Amino acid sequence: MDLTTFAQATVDGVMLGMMYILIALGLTLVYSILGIVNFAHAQFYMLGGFITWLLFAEKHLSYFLTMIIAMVVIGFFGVVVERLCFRPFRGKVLEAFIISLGLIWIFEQSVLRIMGVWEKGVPRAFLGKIDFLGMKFYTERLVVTLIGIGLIVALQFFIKYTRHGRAMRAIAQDRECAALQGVNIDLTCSLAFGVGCALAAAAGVLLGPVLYISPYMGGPPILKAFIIIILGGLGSIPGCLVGGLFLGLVDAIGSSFISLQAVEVLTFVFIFLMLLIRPRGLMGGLKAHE
Amino acid sequence: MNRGRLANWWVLGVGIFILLFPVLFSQHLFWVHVLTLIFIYIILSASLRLMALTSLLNLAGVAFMGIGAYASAVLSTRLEMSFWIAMPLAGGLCILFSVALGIPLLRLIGAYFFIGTVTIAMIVRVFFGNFFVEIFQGIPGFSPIARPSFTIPDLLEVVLVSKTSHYYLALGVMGISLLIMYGLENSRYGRAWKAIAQADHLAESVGVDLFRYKLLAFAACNFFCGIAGATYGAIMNIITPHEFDLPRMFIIVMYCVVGGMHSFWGAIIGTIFMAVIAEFLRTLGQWELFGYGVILVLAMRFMPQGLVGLMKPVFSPIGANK
Repeated sequence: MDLTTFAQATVDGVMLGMMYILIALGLTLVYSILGIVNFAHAQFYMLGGFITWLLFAEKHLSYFLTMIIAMVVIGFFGVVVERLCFRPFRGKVLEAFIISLGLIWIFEQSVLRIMGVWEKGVPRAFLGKIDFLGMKFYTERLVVTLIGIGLIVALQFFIKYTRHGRAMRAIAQDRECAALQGVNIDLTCSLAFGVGCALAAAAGVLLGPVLYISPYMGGPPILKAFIIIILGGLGSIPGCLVGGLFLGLVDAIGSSFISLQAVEVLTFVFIFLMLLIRPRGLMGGLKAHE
Repeated sequence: MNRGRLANWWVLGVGIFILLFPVLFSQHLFWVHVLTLIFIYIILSASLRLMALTSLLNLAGVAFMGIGAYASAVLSTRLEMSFWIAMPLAGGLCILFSVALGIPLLRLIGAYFFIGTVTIAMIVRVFFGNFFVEIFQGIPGFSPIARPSFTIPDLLEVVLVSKTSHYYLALGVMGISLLIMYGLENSRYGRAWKAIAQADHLAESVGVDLFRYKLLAFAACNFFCGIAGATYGAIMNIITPHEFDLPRMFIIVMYCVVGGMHSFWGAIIGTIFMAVIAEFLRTLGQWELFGYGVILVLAMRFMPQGLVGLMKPVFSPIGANK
């Protein structure tokens, strides 16, 4: 095992982990507040990727402006989707899950028809490599990781210290009591869904230049996000962080030393073993929607 | 009760028509083949609904269809077993797998369970595509698969090669599967499953062993999926790993939802309706899947009882109101 490869794989792993976390955080936020599992969540990540391609690659806007536009646009789009499709199904896991299956087809196919089948490349946002102790790292991957960490910290701040964040935590604990205390449930649910979608869009903008943009790019990350949620526990943000970092590192390090398929199968085996011991994940709260 | 009996006669009439279909339309082999596939889909959607009685959605159904198809293909082609032995063995293998996987999976509640079954669906595709390539032939797919045949030594050998024979094979397998599923649903087990869906704690308190009954539902559902897969492989003569992935599972979920999850006939009616519609939607070409998505969302949003729910007002004035 060679040290440089290992170090580079670790950096890649942390970056991948941050992206998985950004997607899984939205999922877990929506779950703990709306009580639904949105299987179409990664399609917002895909839409974020396409906004990057449209604005950053085609119209040559600045990268950060692209990111802000993507987060705002997709966030509002998420609010619209929540109002139209998910509002009647709050707390009804099965029904909402089926709705989100339909949304996957709608988003994927409409983007496929409008944008074309071909994968699109986005130019590098940050060029160059950084030398550290004689090992070279892509600047881009470090910056992407840092922005990811920044977004996660910002979300944590939002949930802990702002009025709407407190409202979200209140609803996650007890919907009726929160409503009795004057929390606007409809508004908070829309907001949570919008914030979740904005985070997914940010992940799309961040990963766009690193990977390719394609209508089907939502498939692999949503499964990873689900695994993270199973690992960490639905509705638990610390669990999400631990699970995401773990999975990112396993993916990156494992795939540079053994084959990717073997890593996938090993991950599943590990998860099954873990579920035998802790059915609610590492940090899943006992008081979740059932 | 009258309404139920009327529906039975109605279904019987349609059944006889379907039975005669290949004779009437023998020059349109395309439609014979489409109906053959519809029968296989009916097994899948009815078994999905069987599990959904406990209000759990088993998204690993198609994965177990894959396990059944590959198991039966390997047994009948590589080990030269008769299809009629290989198919139940494949179903039995599915039961074994569902018990092994179900023990950790069924400890999961609600949303966790869907997610858990999705990961099974993923792993099965990766497994058949990338591992043991010398047995499963990897991503290009397993082909050819031995055809089912009837043999009486020194007297008679009939190999099911024609489309019409496949039609009757699928029809037979579907008929037997549906009979068993109908029986299960109206047995002690079916009542326990429905009780679990309505109030699991209450059901547990009157002595329904939640875990055991859920495991039974999971195993039964996956058994029929495996049988459907074995039949599918024998008919198509080629199976590829990516066929047994989530998109096909979603299509089956759509069939159930459009037909109505709350009725035994819902899954069947939904499958026939949507699969026939799909053949016409095909002319839309590339917008087909988009159309499915719109239908699924609209059906869930505005038709929560499905087609069966829409048909009820038509039937109830005839039958006595309860």
